[in-house]
Amino acid sequence: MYNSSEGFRPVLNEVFEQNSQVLMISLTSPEGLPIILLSREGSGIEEITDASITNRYAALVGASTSLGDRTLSTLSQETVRLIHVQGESRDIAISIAEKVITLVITDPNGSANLLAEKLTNNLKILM
Amino acid sequence: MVEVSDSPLDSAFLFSIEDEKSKIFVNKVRVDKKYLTIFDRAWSILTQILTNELQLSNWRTLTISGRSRALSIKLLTPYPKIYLTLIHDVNLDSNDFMKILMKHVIELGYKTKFETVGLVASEGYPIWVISETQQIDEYLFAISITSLLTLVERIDMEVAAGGVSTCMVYGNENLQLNVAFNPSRDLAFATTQRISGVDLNVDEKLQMMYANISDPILFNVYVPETKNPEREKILSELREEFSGEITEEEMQSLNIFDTETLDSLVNEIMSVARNFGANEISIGYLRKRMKLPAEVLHMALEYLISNSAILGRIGREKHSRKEILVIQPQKIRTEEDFATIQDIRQQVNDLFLPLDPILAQLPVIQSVVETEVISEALSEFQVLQSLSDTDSLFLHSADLRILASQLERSVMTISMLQEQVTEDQDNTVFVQELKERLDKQIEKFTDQRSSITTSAKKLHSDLLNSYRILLKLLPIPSSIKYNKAIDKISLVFKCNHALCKHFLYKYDDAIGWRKLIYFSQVLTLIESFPEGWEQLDQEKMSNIDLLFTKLKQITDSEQQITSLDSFTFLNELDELIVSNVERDKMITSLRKALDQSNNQVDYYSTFRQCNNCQKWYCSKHIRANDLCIYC
Repeated sequence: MYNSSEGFRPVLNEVFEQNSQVLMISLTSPEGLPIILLSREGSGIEEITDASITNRYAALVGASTSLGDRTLSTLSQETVRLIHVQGESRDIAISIAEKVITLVITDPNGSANLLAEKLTNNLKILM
Repeated sequence: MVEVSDSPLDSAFLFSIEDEKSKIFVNKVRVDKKYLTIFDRAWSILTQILTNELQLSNWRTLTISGRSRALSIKLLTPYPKIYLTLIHDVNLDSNDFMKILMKHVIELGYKTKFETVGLVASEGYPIWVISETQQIDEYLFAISITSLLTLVERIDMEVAAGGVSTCMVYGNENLQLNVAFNPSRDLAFATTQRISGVDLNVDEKLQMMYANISDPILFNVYVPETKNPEREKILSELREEFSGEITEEEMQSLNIFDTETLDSLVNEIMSVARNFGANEISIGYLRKRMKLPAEVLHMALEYLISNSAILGRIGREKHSRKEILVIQPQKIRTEEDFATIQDIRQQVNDLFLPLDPILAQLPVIQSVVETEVISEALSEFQVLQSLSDTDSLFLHSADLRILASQLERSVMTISMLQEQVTEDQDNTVFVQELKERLDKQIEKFTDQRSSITTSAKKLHSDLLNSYRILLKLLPIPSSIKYNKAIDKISLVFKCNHALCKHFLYKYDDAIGWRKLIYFSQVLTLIESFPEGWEQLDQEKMSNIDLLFTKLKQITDSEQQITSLDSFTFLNELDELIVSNVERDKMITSLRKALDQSNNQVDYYSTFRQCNNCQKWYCSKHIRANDLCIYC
């Protein structure tokens, strides 16, 4: 976990507070390092520091990016900007930018894609 | 894929798109608008039955076949719901839907909006792909979607996203790939399009969402230098992830090799082997059932085989070369299994059947839980209900009337010709011509007579068969009280065990029960009519008797046909048939009678018919094999 991850918390906390549908936000560096993982728990918003969990999400983001890239490059030689998966119980989006990969998980109607894109746009300016 | 001609004979296509609020029919061919309403209503009723009654929330294809036409509905994409409906000749294979859909997709203007449209099966083969603006190889397209399917499987497994319905991937040059999955996720409907410029609606939504996020704190990412070997290991593992392939380590990191998953995999394999007597199981099937990526499943199977948890090997199917799991009869593990097998052996011996082929199909015996027994009973009820559908009998009865009127016209023509022959016997040439026509008419009459007797015989036997099924569904009352003034009866159903006092009481319309009682006697299911039956409207009872006797008299002999004064009795023939509405009314009121006695159990599990003597008994006096205590 990055030492500076504390710096992200106020921004992400605000996203959680403003959007009740957000369940989890995970930031990962393009190298695959977990930066921060926040999850909405019964008692409030918690930062998850258990390495087995943060690594698991970082691995998921990494695999998703490469699988997405494989899909798009087959079709048109492009790289992935955003992956949005809508499930019955979760809405999941992974936004890929030069300096940060944002994973947003919301409940089914949470428009995770919009949040993920906006967060990435905001965060990349900050990095 | 079978080739379909541009306009299949006798077929019509409807394409319907529906969301939560509305339904749009795209009526491309010969379906009259007035039928749309009828069709729409029938469809919603069928959907209701399928989803509510039969609990088929994920139904995808529905085909109703008639004598010459069939109606097939197929769900193509789950959101928005796109159905393709085809009214087609029964001989047309409905698998050709996809080919037909392809034509419609083009007609509906997809080509102007999308670069590529395609349908891909989860196994990774393309069903069809249309690419208007660029040449995309079907196979490449399928491969790219397959990567996406793997991604979805993985996300679903890690995040528990529920059934994933859509996945969208946006590229850095505004290429957008949308993939919609059908509910069982064995089909992916994919489109690609270019989005140019900024989508204002999206931006507006974003502004709303972020209105309150201001003055973000500036900071830089700081990666500390570290000598921690554990961290280096994790980093190198994670970097490998970015090489593009799903590695073994990655698979292990999914933490699926837990006992629970492995146990349920073993159970799945055993139950397929047991239920279908299969010794070869498709790996693709297991992958879908277990919702595991192919590599993970492969590893799990190899692990189970190497540990002798499953006796078998991974092989390939002879013709398709697809991967299969070849399993050998499995070891019997516990004494309980031995006891169960012994029990089955005893039962099979009783039936004088050779035992070995059956035992070979039972690699592991699993005890049947209570709920399964209940669902079996319910499904048996549903099967009986569908088998006792009498709509075809009404059609048959109508056909018989048409045949009879043709026969009567023939008889009239013959007698007219005969009269004319007698009158004009001096005119030899004319008489000769008349006689020729008469011969032809008699020949026609003979054919008609033979078809009416065949048809009557068929109706007679179908009618009795429908009652045989109906009487498995509905118990025969032991006594009746009839109130002529309101044409209603009260019925008592008793368990046929001599000392049992279990009974069920109900109050109902007499119509359906009158026919049921008459035919239970015809079929000699009861020695005599129930107590109090003479109170029933005797005029109506004797009419049923008369109609049935006359129907039986339509036999092949000319004498018997002509001895029937006329066929007018056929107009009343429908009186012999219990309509579906009457049947359902009887079932509902029996259920109601149980509710009133505060009993939540369905009557069908409270009262059951003995398979041998066909009498009805309460659940206490009938054994699990559906034989009463006397048989």
